[in-house]
Amino acid sequence: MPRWTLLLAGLLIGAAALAGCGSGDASGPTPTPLPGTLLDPPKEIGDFTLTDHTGQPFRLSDLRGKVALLFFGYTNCPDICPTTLAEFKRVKALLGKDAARVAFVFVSVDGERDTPEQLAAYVRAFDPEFIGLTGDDATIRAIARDYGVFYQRVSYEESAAGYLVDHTASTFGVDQEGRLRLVFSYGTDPAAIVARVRALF
Amino acid sequence: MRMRRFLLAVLIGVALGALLIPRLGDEDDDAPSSAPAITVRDAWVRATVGSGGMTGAFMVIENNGGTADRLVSVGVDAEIAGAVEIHEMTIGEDQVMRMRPIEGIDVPAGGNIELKPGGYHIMLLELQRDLTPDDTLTLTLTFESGAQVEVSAPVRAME
Ligand SMILES: [Cu+2]
Repeated sequence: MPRWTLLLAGLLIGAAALAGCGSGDASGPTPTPLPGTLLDPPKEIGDFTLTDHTGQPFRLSDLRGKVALLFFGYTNCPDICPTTLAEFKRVKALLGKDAARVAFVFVSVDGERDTPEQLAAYVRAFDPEFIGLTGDDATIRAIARDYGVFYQRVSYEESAAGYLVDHTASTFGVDQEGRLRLVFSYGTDPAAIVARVRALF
Repeated sequence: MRMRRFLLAVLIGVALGALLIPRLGDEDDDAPSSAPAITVRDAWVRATVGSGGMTGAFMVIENNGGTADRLVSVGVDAEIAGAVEIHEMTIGEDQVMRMRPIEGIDVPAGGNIELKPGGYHIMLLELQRDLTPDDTLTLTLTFESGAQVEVSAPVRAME
């Protein structure tokens, strides 16, 4: 057998073995029948201060007594971010009167381009009550670490964008005591998010 | 030496023939005034707010011809956007969304390719003004075969 076929076979077997390991990993947070992950026990997270879309300082602890849904993104993102905010809008509509007990928060991972003015135009295009938060990279970086959010600026010389931002597309639910309780994958059915959120009231 | 040159000529001949034959074959199948091989439907552009931004355009590109083609560039009025690029977005198992510029998008013979949220899009950059839902943009798609298709893409609300 030529050497390269052996090499190829080795690579394929190796890749298959790795894939098997990945899918067999059932440890971590308890899965439940509803989509989304319930953190039990809740994860204690630090308070933070950022600047909101009106230019005022905003602390996570300002939301005590409310359930908060947080998404990390940037206003130049062409589809994942607006799609998620549109789903927030649907969640809010499905909550009806209970929407007053929930805060919807968009945290920018592109503090350089997302000024409060830019964020204001953006979040208000979805709902006047949505909250946009921005800040310097060091602050946002620390918050992201707390939530397990990855984000990274990637520069492209060939792109007029200069840089694009790769980022975690999950939505996070924080309970009324300010503890991290819920994690939803991108594209989770808004009705399931509503059911999960109501369980935290 | 002479033999090698002869073989090279034969190879080139075969290659040229291979390029030509499928096209000739197509013309046998279709009437001379047949519809263009590439058509585009369901095009739309996501509305924007704020300044200096970028946005995505989405559509379905159909290739009714017998040869694969490839979208290689897109143009738009410079008064709308300063640059247009082809981008691909992916969401990995790690839930990380990644977007990157790519060289082109293959459109298989007799098939179609969908540019949609969470996948391929045409990125309009250096927007000169906000795009609102009463706008309609004209995009010019250029393919590797030289085919050009003008697409009328209405602007849809951000959600
Ligand atoms: Cu893009």
